[in-house]
Amino acid sequence: MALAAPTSFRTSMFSRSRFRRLPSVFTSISVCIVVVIVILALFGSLIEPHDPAAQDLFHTSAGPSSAHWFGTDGLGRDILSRMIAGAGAAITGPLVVALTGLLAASALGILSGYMGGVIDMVIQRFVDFMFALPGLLIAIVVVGVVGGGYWLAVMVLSLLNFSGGVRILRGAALEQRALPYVEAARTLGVPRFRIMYRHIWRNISPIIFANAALDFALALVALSSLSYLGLGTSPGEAEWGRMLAENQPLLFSNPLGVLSPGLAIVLFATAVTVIGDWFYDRFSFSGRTGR
Amino acid sequence: MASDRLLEINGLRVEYVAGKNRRTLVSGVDLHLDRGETIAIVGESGSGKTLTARAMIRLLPTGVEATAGEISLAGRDVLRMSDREAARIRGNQISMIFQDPFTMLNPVLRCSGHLEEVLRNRATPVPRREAKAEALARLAEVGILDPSAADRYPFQLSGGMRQRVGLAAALAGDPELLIADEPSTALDVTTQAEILELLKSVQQARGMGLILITHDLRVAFSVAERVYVLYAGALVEVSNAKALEREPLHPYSLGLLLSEPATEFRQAQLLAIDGSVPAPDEVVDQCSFASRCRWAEERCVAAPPPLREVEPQRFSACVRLEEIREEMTSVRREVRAPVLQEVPSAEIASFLAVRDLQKVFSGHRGGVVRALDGVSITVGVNESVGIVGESGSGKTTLGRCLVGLEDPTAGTIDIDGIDASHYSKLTRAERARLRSTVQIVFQDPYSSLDRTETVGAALREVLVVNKFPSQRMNARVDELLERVGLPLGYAKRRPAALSGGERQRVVIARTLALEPKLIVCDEPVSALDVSVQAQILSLFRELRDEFGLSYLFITHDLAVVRQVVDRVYVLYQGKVVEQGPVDQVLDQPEHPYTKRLIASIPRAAA
Repeated sequence: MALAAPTSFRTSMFSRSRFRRLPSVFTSISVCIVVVIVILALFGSLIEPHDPAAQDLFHTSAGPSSAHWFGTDGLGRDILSRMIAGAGAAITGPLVVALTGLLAASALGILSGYMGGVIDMVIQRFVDFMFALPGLLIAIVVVGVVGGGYWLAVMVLSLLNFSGGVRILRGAALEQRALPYVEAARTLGVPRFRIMYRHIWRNISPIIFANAALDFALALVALSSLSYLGLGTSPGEAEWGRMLAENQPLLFSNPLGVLSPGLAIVLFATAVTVIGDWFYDRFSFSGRTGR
Repeated sequence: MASDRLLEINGLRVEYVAGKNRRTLVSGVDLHLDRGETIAIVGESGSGKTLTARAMIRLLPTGVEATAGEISLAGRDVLRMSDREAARIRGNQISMIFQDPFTMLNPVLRCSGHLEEVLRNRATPVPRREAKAEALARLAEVGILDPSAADRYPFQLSGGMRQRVGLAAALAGDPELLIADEPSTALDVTTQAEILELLKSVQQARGMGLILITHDLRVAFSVAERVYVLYAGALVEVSNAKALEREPLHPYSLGLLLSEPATEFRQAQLLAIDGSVPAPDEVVDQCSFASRCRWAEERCVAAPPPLREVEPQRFSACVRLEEIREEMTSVRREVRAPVLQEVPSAEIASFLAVRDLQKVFSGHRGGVVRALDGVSITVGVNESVGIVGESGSGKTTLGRCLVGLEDPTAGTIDIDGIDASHYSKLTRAERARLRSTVQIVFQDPYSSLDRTETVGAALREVLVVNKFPSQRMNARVDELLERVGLPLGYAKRRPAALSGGERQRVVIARTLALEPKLIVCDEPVSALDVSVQAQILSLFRELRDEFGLSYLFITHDLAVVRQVVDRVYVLYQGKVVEQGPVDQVLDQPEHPYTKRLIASIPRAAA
């Protein structure tokens, strides 16, 4: 005679983190997606059925066939092979953006939140300035004027991206700073840089990594957008955003040419975000018990 | 036609069912309450007292269910009614107020809004036009006579006022039964007494049933007629409150009663119940208290003891009661034996001297708050000094100034010959010397430790940053753990795997790592269960004798003051209003504020 449990109360004893110990189906699928893309990026050249750059001008814009599972593009290049070849660019660029964001935001955010005073003010005014810049627009102008290139786009995005993280981590650090364990460390003579990296950084690391996952997803979409606009990657290179643009005319002859890069971008970005969320839920609250 | 029986609970069982492993949280609780009666459910954290109450009002947390037994409220089966019906009786027949007055109210609703919401939605709704007037009348019932208070937001009110508003809202549906879950625990001592008094008078005036949930037997005795003692999810004793106070009939009730430090005299020894509360599932087939009971024998762990009537109106779950009853009485007499406190000699060498300390915080809109307004205190070598006051008295600010967490606005602090008024102006070497002289233990052991690092790592860190030779590091960590009474294996544990008392021991070990001469203790036991409080206070007593420590105890709890302090300062609104040896100040208070503090200690109803 089990009763329906009312849902109006949550006590810390039964917080949702307990229910979230194991990854949900959703998270498991996301992990699979990311693992597949990472494997493709690492070993893609061994799996590719065709040379991604080889043109077969007799079979252009063809639909799926046994020779070309995903069909071919307007120049007769194998779409499956180009998808596989594009996996690398989909990981490295966003990864660099996320990692620089992670490092810069951790350093500036924690410094700003913990030290306060003049340091806080200088960093925050700098962040305000960065916020005032229209990010993607600047990226388009810079990449357009300087002449493009994947790594230039990555660099510009890295510089423009981290200020949001600084704000988030500053707030988190401020919150930790007021907790007794930090005050105890201060009175026990723990040097402040050690407090910052050893205590505060570790305690807010779930936020840091969840934020980096979000950065990754945003950078993936931003880099794809730049490529789609013809900036970023140079013509001919296999990159999902670029494929999306190049294969647009094929929409009716071989829809897979557009669908596969489009879907890949959306799925990959979503999967990374979902994993970041799971990580945050798993580790943020009562998280680690260490027996 | 209504019978006198308002609530009857039979064989209630509450389980955690959401995970893979079902866990019992409460089992076999029988309880009854007549109209106009007041009962108390007493237990430590983890005893299941709150869950029992939540089951009555059908507000169990997600994943927790009442899986057996019945709860009948005025003849209606609470557990088997639909959610909609349950929602209808909540607020109308049965109401609840909670511990924390700071989160209980909706911060964007005015006080009258909280009341009007209930008044307009109850079984017999009050018309909109009359709601405001009715709300004011209801606030007057709980002692809020100023009509302008109704238009204030919760954050503009003190804790006691908020608790009153919460009570008025709970009463707005004119319930027949009110459940009060630790209604006074989060409040200041004097406010606590007022709220308990108010609950009692409202209950009598309305003739409603009142269930008080508390961890404090003294609070239970002061309000309730019958007391249910809950331990590890099961009832161990049910008794008339007066009789229970006179003579507890279960070793756990005895332990609970004795581990509450006395406020009237200093005890020769503080009796603590060793260990901590087991999980109910570990003790289903035995006496739940056997593992911590000094009288336990084979019979106790062979089968779960039934709750039996040992005297009229008195039930105990102890199978050996008849054999040990006399012994229990003599233990009580022994522990309650007062020791005469030696009057501290006047010529103790002064170790800490604070002169005319002032601390001004800038408040909202240019206003200033004078947290400390010319405070002067001294602490001698190996002396234990108490600072007593309520929240807002400045006592915590004083402690924080001493360890350099706050910079005083004016005045001087002299610690062992070092001018510690402004930590930031000191040299690195002076700061290091100060740190190994003064240390602080904070109130909340849950957040005083970094949850990401193990106990061993926390202790080693302090040793490393203070240049302790690395080859003796591990031996020193073991020594510290041993000194505070923790098993050596705890070095590998993280704080999440420790109980509150164990965490506080780690915190104390960490301060001892620096071999300080003075420890500032900011409410060091107020976040702990009663049975654990005594353990920690005993530890403080031992350490003082062993290391010749001086203490500065910052507390609102007069029992703590009586047990571990030699000399006391009473702080009120940033000023010292009374000072002197503990016995003198507590037994013959002179300042009206001190008198009020002492009068608010909960006592059994006359």
